[in-house]
Amino acid sequence: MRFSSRMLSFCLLLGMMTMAPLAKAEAPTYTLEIKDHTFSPATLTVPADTPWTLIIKNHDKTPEEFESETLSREKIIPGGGQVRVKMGALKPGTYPFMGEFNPDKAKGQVVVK
Amino acid sequence: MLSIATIVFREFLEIALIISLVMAATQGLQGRINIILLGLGIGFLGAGIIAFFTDTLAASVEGTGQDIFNAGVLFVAVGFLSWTVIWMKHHAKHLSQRIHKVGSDIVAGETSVWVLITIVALASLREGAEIVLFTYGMMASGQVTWPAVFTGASLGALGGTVVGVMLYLGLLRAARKHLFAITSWLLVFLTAGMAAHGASYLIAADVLPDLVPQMWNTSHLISGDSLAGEILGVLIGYTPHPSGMEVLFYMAVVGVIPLLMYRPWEGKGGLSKSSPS
Repeated sequence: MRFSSRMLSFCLLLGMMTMAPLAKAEAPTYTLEIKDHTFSPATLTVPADTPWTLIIKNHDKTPEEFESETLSREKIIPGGGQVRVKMGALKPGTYPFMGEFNPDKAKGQVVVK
Repeated sequence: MLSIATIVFREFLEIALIISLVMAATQGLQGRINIILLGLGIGFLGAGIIAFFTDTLAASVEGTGQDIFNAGVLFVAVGFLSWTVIWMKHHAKHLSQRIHKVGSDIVAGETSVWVLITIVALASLREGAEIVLFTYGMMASGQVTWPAVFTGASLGALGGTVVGVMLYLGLLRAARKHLFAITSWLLVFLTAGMAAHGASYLIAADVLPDLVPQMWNTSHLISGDSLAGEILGVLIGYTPHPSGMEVLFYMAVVGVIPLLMYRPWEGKGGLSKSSPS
Protein backbone atom coordinates (compact mmCIF):
# COMPACT_ATOMS: atom_id res chain seq x y z
CA MET A 1 0.00 0.00 0.00
CA ARG A 2 3.06 2.23 -0.08
CA PHE A 3 2.19 3.51 -3.50
CA SER A 4 -1.41 4.26 -2.87
CA SER A 5 -1.16 8.01 -2.22
CA ARG A 6 0.98 8.50 -5.31
CA MET A 7 -1.41 6.38 -7.30
CA LEU A 8 -4.42 8.24 -5.99
CA SER A 9 -3.03 11.61 -6.97
CA PHE A 10 -2.14 10.19 -10.40
CA CYS A 11 -5.72 9.06 -10.91
CA LEU A 12 -7.12 12.35 -9.64
CA LEU A 13 -4.83 14.28 -11.97
CA LEU A 14 -5.96 12.16 -14.91
CA GLY A 15 -9.55 12.74 -13.93
CA MET A 16 -9.16 16.51 -13.60
CA MET A 17 -7.31 16.83 -16.87
CA THR A 18 -10.07 15.08 -18.72
CA MET A 19 -12.96 16.74 -16.94
CA ALA A 20 -11.96 20.30 -17.81
CA PRO A 21 -14.08 21.43 -20.74
CA LEU A 22 -11.73 22.73 -23.41
CA ALA A 23 -13.70 24.39 -26.14
CA LYS A 24 -17.28 24.41 -27.30
CA ALA A 25 -17.83 25.10 -30.96
CA GLU A 26 -21.27 26.17 -32.06
CA ALA A 27 -22.67 23.54 -34.37
CA PRO A 28 -26.06 23.15 -36.07
CA THR A 29 -28.51 21.25 -33.91
CA TYR A 30 -30.93 18.51 -34.94
CA THR A 31 -33.52 16.94 -32.72
CA LEU A 32 -34.83 13.39 -32.46
CA GLU A 33 -37.88 12.58 -30.37
CA ILE A 34 -38.81 9.24 -28.87
CA LYS A 35 -42.45 8.38 -28.37
CA ASP A 36 -43.91 4.89 -27.89
CA HIS A 37 -40.41 3.47 -28.43
CA THR A 38 -40.14 4.92 -31.96
CA PHE A 39 -37.92 7.70 -33.25
CA SER A 40 -39.30 10.69 -35.04
CA PRO A 41 -38.24 11.70 -37.52
CA ALA A 42 -37.15 8.19 -38.47
CA THR A 43 -34.89 9.74 -41.10
CA LEU A 44 -32.78 12.71 -40.10
CA THR A 45 -31.06 14.58 -42.92
CA VAL A 46 -27.89 16.50 -42.07
CA PRO A 47 -25.26 18.29 -44.20
CA ALA A 48 -22.01 16.53 -45.10
CA ASP A 49 -18.59 17.53 -43.74
CA THR A 50 -20.08 19.65 -40.94
CA PRO A 51 -19.92 18.84 -37.24
CA TRP A 52 -23.39 18.93 -35.69
CA THR A 53 -25.15 18.34 -32.42
CA LEU A 54 -27.92 15.83 -31.85
CA ILE A 55 -30.53 16.47 -29.19
CA ILE A 56 -32.63 13.47 -28.21
CA LYS A 57 -35.85 13.95 -26.25
CA ASN A 58 -37.49 10.94 -24.70
CA HIS A 59 -41.22 11.38 -24.13
CA ASP A 60 -41.64 7.81 -22.90
CA LYS A 61 -41.57 6.91 -19.23
CA THR A 62 -38.87 4.29 -19.75
CA PRO A 63 -35.19 4.85 -20.59
CA GLU A 64 -33.84 4.22 -24.06
CA GLU A 65 -30.33 3.79 -25.40
CA PHE A 66 -29.54 5.48 -28.70
CA GLU A 67 -26.97 3.33 -30.44
CA SER A 68 -25.29 3.47 -33.80
CA GLU A 69 -22.33 1.40 -34.88
CA THR A 70 -21.76 3.52 -37.99
CA LEU A 71 -21.96 6.82 -36.09
CA SER A 72 -20.00 5.22 -33.21
CA ARG A 73 -22.22 6.74 -30.57
CA GLU A 74 -24.19 5.20 -27.71
CA LYS A 75 -26.18 7.24 -25.29
CA ILE A 76 -28.77 6.56 -22.62
CA ILE A 77 -31.80 8.85 -22.52
CA PRO A 78 -33.78 8.51 -19.28
CA GLY A 79 -37.56 8.40 -19.35
CA GLY A 80 -38.83 11.96 -19.85
CA GLY A 81 -35.27 13.18 -20.30
CA GLN A 82 -33.24 15.03 -22.87
CA VAL A 83 -29.60 14.54 -23.84
CA ARG A 84 -27.08 16.08 -26.19
CA VAL A 85 -24.60 14.22 -28.39
CA LYS A 86 -21.85 15.87 -30.43
CA MET A 87 -21.43 14.39 -33.89
CA GLY A 88 -18.40 14.71 -36.10
CA ALA A 89 -18.21 15.86 -39.72
CA LEU A 90 -19.65 12.96 -41.71
CA LYS A 91 -19.18 11.83 -45.28
CA PRO A 92 -22.31 11.54 -47.44
CA GLY A 93 -24.15 8.29 -46.85
CA THR A 94 -26.73 6.53 -44.69
CA TYR A 95 -26.00 5.85 -41.03
CA PRO A 96 -28.57 3.60 -39.33
CA PHE A 97 -29.26 3.89 -35.60
CA MET A 98 -31.53 2.09 -33.14
CA GLY A 99 -32.85 2.14 -29.63
CA GLU A 100 -31.05 -0.73 -28.00
CA PHE A 101 -33.68 -1.23 -25.33
CA ASN A 102 -36.42 -1.65 -27.96
CA PRO A 103 -34.53 -2.84 -31.03
CA ASP A 104 -37.61 -4.13 -32.86
CA LYS A 105 -39.49 -0.83 -32.87
CA ALA A 106 -36.95 1.91 -32.34
CA LYS A 107 -35.10 2.23 -35.63
CA GLY A 108 -34.00 5.12 -37.77
CA GLN A 109 -31.24 6.54 -39.91
CA VAL A 110 -29.18 9.64 -40.41
CA VAL A 111 -28.86 10.59 -44.07
CA VAL A 112 -25.85 12.79 -44.77
CA LYS A 113 -26.07 14.85 -47.96
CA MET B 1 -36.60 -12.77 -22.79
CA LEU B 2 -34.10 -13.28 -25.57
CA SER B 3 -33.48 -9.55 -25.85
CA ILE B 4 -32.77 -9.40 -22.12
CA ALA B 5 -30.35 -12.30 -22.47
CA THR B 6 -28.62 -10.59 -25.40
CA ILE B 7 -28.19 -7.25 -23.71
CA VAL B 8 -27.05 -8.73 -20.40
CA PHE B 9 -24.63 -10.93 -22.32
CA ARG B 10 -23.15 -7.93 -24.13
CA GLU B 11 -22.68 -5.92 -20.97
CA PHE B 12 -21.54 -8.87 -18.88
CA LEU B 13 -19.02 -9.92 -21.52
CA GLU B 14 -16.93 -6.84 -20.82
CA ILE B 15 -16.91 -7.47 -17.07
CA ALA B 16 -16.10 -11.17 -17.59
CA LEU B 17 -13.22 -10.52 -19.98
CA ILE B 18 -11.64 -7.94 -17.69
CA ILE B 19 -11.95 -10.29 -14.73
CA SER B 20 -10.47 -13.23 -16.61
CA LEU B 21 -7.43 -11.16 -17.58
CA VAL B 22 -7.00 -9.94 -14.01
CA MET B 23 -7.35 -13.55 -12.80
CA ALA B 24 -4.71 -14.73 -15.24
CA ALA B 25 -2.40 -11.88 -14.28
CA THR B 26 -2.64 -12.59 -10.57
CA GLN B 27 -1.84 -16.30 -10.61
CA GLY B 28 -0.83 -17.42 -7.17
CA LEU B 29 -2.52 -14.56 -5.38
CA GLN B 30 -4.53 -16.09 -2.59
CA GLY B 31 -8.11 -15.07 -2.09
CA ARG B 32 -8.47 -13.83 -5.65
CA ILE B 33 -11.98 -15.16 -5.89
CA ASN B 34 -13.03 -13.20 -2.81
CA ILE B 35 -11.38 -10.07 -4.15
CA ILE B 36 -13.25 -10.38 -7.41
CA LEU B 37 -16.57 -11.17 -5.75
CA LEU B 38 -16.15 -8.17 -3.46
CA GLY B 39 -15.33 -5.98 -6.46
CA LEU B 40 -18.39 -7.27 -8.30
CA GLY B 41 -20.58 -6.68 -5.27
CA ILE B 42 -19.40 -3.10 -4.82
CA GLY B 43 -19.67 -2.49 -8.55
CA PHE B 44 -23.24 -3.73 -8.85
CA LEU B 45 -24.28 -1.85 -5.74
CA GLY B 46 -22.85 1.29 -7.30
CA ALA B 47 -24.56 0.42 -10.58
CA GLY B 48 -27.91 0.34 -8.83
CA ILE B 49 -27.27 3.74 -7.26
CA ILE B 50 -26.18 5.24 -10.58
CA ALA B 51 -29.19 3.78 -12.37
CA PHE B 52 -31.39 5.37 -9.72
CA PHE B 53 -29.85 8.79 -10.34
CA THR B 54 -29.73 8.46 -14.13
CA ASP B 55 -32.25 11.23 -14.68
CA THR B 56 -30.16 13.76 -12.77
CA LEU B 57 -26.90 12.50 -14.21
CA ALA B 58 -28.08 12.51 -17.82
CA ALA B 59 -29.57 15.99 -17.56
CA SER B 60 -26.45 17.51 -16.01
CA VAL B 61 -23.81 19.43 -17.99
CA GLU B 62 -26.37 20.32 -20.68
CA GLY B 63 -27.31 16.71 -21.28
CA THR B 64 -23.80 15.33 -21.47
CA GLY B 65 -23.39 14.32 -17.82
CA GLN B 66 -23.58 10.58 -18.50
CA ASP B 67 -20.77 10.71 -21.05
CA ILE B 68 -18.53 12.76 -18.79
CA PHE B 69 -19.24 10.39 -15.90
CA ASN B 70 -18.50 7.33 -18.04
CA ALA B 71 -15.28 8.90 -19.26
CA GLY B 72 -14.31 9.64 -15.65
CA VAL B 73 -14.93 6.03 -14.60
CA LEU B 74 -12.91 4.78 -17.56
CA PHE B 75 -9.98 7.09 -16.92
CA VAL B 76 -9.82 6.16 -13.25
CA ALA B 77 -9.80 2.50 -14.35
CA VAL B 78 -7.04 3.34 -16.84
CA GLY B 79 -5.04 4.85 -13.97
CA PHE B 80 -5.48 1.81 -11.72
CA LEU B 81 -4.78 -0.70 -14.50
CA SER B 82 -1.66 1.17 -15.62
CA TRP B 83 -0.40 1.23 -12.08
CA THR B 84 -1.09 -2.51 -11.68
CA VAL B 85 0.73 -3.49 -14.87
CA ILE B 86 3.73 -1.32 -14.05
CA TRP B 87 3.81 -2.56 -10.48
CA MET B 88 3.52 -6.19 -11.62
CA LYS B 89 6.46 -5.84 -13.96
CA HIS B 90 8.54 -4.12 -11.35
CA HIS B 91 7.98 -6.77 -8.77
CA ALA B 92 7.85 -9.69 -11.15
CA LYS B 93 11.10 -11.29 -10.12
CA HIS B 94 10.43 -10.64 -6.52
CA LEU B 95 6.95 -12.08 -6.78
CA SER B 96 7.74 -15.29 -8.60
CA GLN B 97 10.53 -16.11 -6.14
CA ARG B 98 8.29 -15.56 -3.19
CA ILE B 99 5.45 -17.52 -4.67
CA HIS B 100 7.73 -20.50 -5.03
CA LYS B 101 9.27 -20.20 -1.60
CA VAL B 102 6.77 -19.06 0.89
CA GLY B 103 3.44 -19.40 -0.77
CA SER B 104 1.21 -16.71 -1.99
CA ASP B 105 -0.12 -15.00 1.11
CA ILE B 106 2.68 -12.43 1.15
CA VAL B 107 1.83 -11.35 -2.36
CA ALA B 108 -1.71 -10.72 -1.32
CA GLY B 109 -0.52 -8.49 1.47
CA GLU B 110 1.72 -6.46 -0.75
CA THR B 111 -0.20 -6.14 -3.98
CA SER B 112 -2.79 -3.57 -3.27
CA VAL B 113 -5.76 -5.82 -2.97
CA TRP B 114 -7.86 -2.70 -3.12
CA VAL B 115 -6.51 -1.88 -6.54
CA LEU B 116 -7.82 -5.18 -7.88
CA ILE B 117 -11.15 -4.72 -6.13
CA THR B 118 -11.43 -1.25 -7.63
CA ILE B 119 -10.66 -2.45 -11.15
CA VAL B 120 -13.37 -5.10 -10.97
CA ALA B 121 -15.81 -2.70 -9.30
CA LEU B 122 -15.28 -0.01 -11.95
CA ALA B 123 -15.80 -2.50 -14.76
CA SER B 124 -19.07 -3.74 -13.30
CA LEU B 125 -20.20 -0.23 -12.37
CA ARG B 126 -20.67 1.12 -15.88
CA GLU B 127 -21.95 -2.05 -17.50
CA GLY B 128 -24.08 -2.95 -14.49
CA ALA B 129 -25.87 0.39 -14.61
CA GLU B 130 -26.94 -0.32 -18.18
CA ILE B 131 -28.25 -3.75 -17.23
CA VAL B 132 -30.26 -2.27 -14.36
CA LEU B 133 -31.68 0.53 -16.54
CA PHE B 134 -32.61 -1.82 -19.32
CA THR B 135 -34.35 -4.39 -17.13
CA TYR B 136 -36.10 -1.57 -15.28
CA GLY B 137 -37.36 -0.22 -18.59
CA MET B 138 -38.61 -3.63 -19.66
CA MET B 139 -40.39 -4.10 -16.34
CA ALA B 140 -41.85 -0.61 -16.24
CA SER B 141 -43.28 -0.80 -19.73
CA GLY B 142 -44.98 -4.06 -18.77
CA GLN B 143 -43.45 -5.89 -21.72
CA VAL B 144 -42.14 -8.75 -19.65
CA THR B 145 -42.68 -10.54 -16.37
CA TRP B 146 -40.26 -11.08 -13.51
CA PRO B 147 -39.48 -14.73 -14.34
CA ALA B 148 -38.65 -13.74 -17.94
CA VAL B 149 -36.33 -10.98 -16.73
CA PHE B 150 -34.67 -13.34 -14.29
CA THR B 151 -34.22 -16.15 -16.83
CA GLY B 152 -33.00 -13.79 -19.52
CA ALA B 153 -30.53 -12.05 -17.24
CA SER B 154 -29.22 -15.37 -15.90
CA LEU B 155 -28.74 -16.75 -19.42
CA GLY B 156 -26.94 -13.60 -20.51
CA ALA B 157 -24.69 -13.54 -17.46
CA LEU B 158 -23.95 -17.23 -17.89
CA GLY B 159 -23.03 -16.70 -21.54
CA GLY B 160 -20.70 -13.82 -20.69
CA THR B 161 -19.10 -15.84 -17.91
CA VAL B 162 -18.53 -18.82 -20.22
CA VAL B 163 -16.62 -16.65 -22.70
CA GLY B 164 -14.59 -15.16 -19.83
CA VAL B 165 -13.74 -18.61 -18.40
CA MET B 166 -12.76 -19.80 -21.89
CA LEU B 167 -10.38 -16.88 -22.24
CA TYR B 168 -8.92 -17.55 -18.80
CA LEU B 169 -8.38 -21.27 -19.39
CA GLY B 170 -7.15 -20.63 -22.92
CA LEU B 171 -4.61 -18.15 -21.61
CA LEU B 172 -3.38 -20.53 -18.93
CA ARG B 173 -2.95 -23.31 -21.46
CA ALA B 174 -1.54 -21.36 -24.38
CA ALA B 175 0.72 -19.05 -22.46
CA ARG B 176 1.99 -21.28 -19.70
CA LYS B 177 5.58 -20.24 -19.92
CA HIS B 178 5.19 -16.55 -20.51
CA LEU B 179 1.86 -16.08 -18.81
CA PHE B 180 3.09 -13.09 -16.90
CA ALA B 181 4.48 -11.21 -19.87
CA ILE B 182 1.54 -12.07 -22.10
CA THR B 183 -1.14 -11.06 -19.61
CA SER B 184 0.76 -7.85 -18.91
CA TRP B 185 0.72 -6.96 -22.58
CA LEU B 186 -2.92 -7.94 -22.92
CA LEU B 187 -3.69 -5.62 -20.00
CA VAL B 188 -1.74 -2.83 -21.71
CA PHE B 189 -3.91 -3.13 -24.82
CA LEU B 190 -7.07 -3.45 -22.75
CA THR B 191 -6.10 -0.29 -20.88
CA ALA B 192 -5.32 1.53 -24.12
CA GLY B 193 -8.75 0.54 -25.44
CA MET B 194 -10.35 1.92 -22.27
CA ALA B 195 -8.51 5.21 -22.69
CA ALA B 196 -9.67 5.47 -26.32
CA HIS B 197 -13.22 4.60 -25.25
CA GLY B 198 -13.07 7.31 -22.58
CA ALA B 199 -11.89 9.77 -25.22
CA SER B 200 -14.84 8.83 -27.45
CA TYR B 201 -17.24 9.68 -24.59
CA LEU B 202 -15.59 13.07 -24.20
CA ILE B 203 -15.86 13.66 -27.95
CA ALA B 204 -19.59 12.86 -27.81
CA ALA B 205 -19.86 15.30 -24.88
CA ASP B 206 -18.07 17.97 -26.95
CA VAL B 207 -15.31 18.25 -24.35
CA LEU B 208 -12.60 17.01 -26.72
CA PRO B 209 -12.39 17.56 -30.50
CA ASP B 210 -12.28 14.43 -32.65
CA LEU B 211 -9.27 15.84 -34.60
CA VAL B 212 -10.02 13.53 -37.53
CA PRO B 213 -13.60 12.22 -37.68
CA GLN B 214 -12.54 8.86 -39.07
CA MET B 215 -8.99 7.56 -39.36
CA TRP B 216 -9.94 4.36 -41.16
CA ASN B 217 -12.89 2.03 -41.52
CA THR B 218 -12.72 -1.72 -41.06
CA SER B 219 -16.45 -2.32 -40.57
CA HIS B 220 -16.54 -4.60 -43.60
CA LEU B 221 -13.83 -6.83 -42.06
CA ILE B 222 -15.08 -7.00 -38.47
CA SER B 223 -18.25 -5.12 -37.61
CA GLY B 224 -18.35 -3.51 -34.19
CA ASP B 225 -21.74 -5.17 -33.67
CA SER B 226 -20.49 -8.72 -34.21
CA LEU B 227 -19.44 -10.98 -31.35
CA ALA B 228 -15.84 -10.95 -32.58
CA GLY B 229 -15.97 -7.17 -32.85
CA GLU B 230 -17.27 -6.85 -29.30
CA ILE B 231 -14.76 -9.25 -27.78
CA LEU B 232 -11.90 -7.53 -29.61
CA GLY B 233 -13.41 -4.23 -28.55
CA VAL B 234 -12.99 -5.13 -24.88
CA LEU B 235 -9.67 -6.94 -25.19
CA ILE B 236 -7.69 -4.64 -27.47
CA GLY B 237 -10.03 -1.67 -27.84
CA TYR B 238 -11.01 -2.59 -31.38
CA THR B 239 -13.37 -0.10 -32.96
CA PRO B 240 -14.05 -0.22 -36.69
CA HIS B 241 -13.73 3.49 -37.41
CA PRO B 242 -11.88 5.41 -34.71
CA SER B 243 -11.44 9.16 -34.67
CA GLY B 244 -8.03 10.80 -34.55
CA MET B 245 -8.38 11.60 -30.84
CA GLU B 246 -9.19 7.98 -29.97
CA VAL B 247 -6.09 6.77 -31.83
CA LEU B 248 -4.02 9.40 -30.03
CA PHE B 249 -5.23 8.24 -26.58
CA TYR B 250 -4.66 4.61 -27.54
CA MET B 251 -1.12 5.25 -28.76
CA ALA B 252 -0.32 7.33 -25.69
CA VAL B 253 -1.14 4.42 -23.37
CA VAL B 254 0.58 1.81 -25.55
CA GLY B 255 3.62 4.09 -25.63
CA VAL B 256 3.82 5.23 -22.02
CA ILE B 257 2.98 2.10 -19.97
CA PRO B 258 5.66 -0.15 -21.54
CA LEU B 259 8.14 2.69 -21.06
CA LEU B 260 7.33 2.73 -17.33
CA MET B 261 7.31 -1.08 -17.25
CA TYR B 262 10.76 -1.55 -18.75
CA ARG B 263 12.36 1.78 -17.77
CA PRO B 264 15.17 1.85 -20.35
CA TRP B 265 16.78 4.79 -18.53
CA GLU B 266 17.47 2.60 -15.49
CA GLY B 267 20.31 0.79 -17.24
CA LYS B 268 20.81 -2.80 -18.24
CA GLY B 269 18.55 -4.37 -15.65
CA GLY B 270 15.59 -2.45 -16.95
CA LEU B 271 15.28 -4.05 -20.34
CA SER B 272 15.78 -7.69 -19.43
CA LYS B 273 12.54 -9.59 -19.26
CA SER B 274 12.31 -11.42 -15.96
CA SER B 275 14.79 -14.15 -16.78
CA PRO B 276 13.59 -17.61 -15.80
CA SER B 277 15.87 -18.90 -13.10
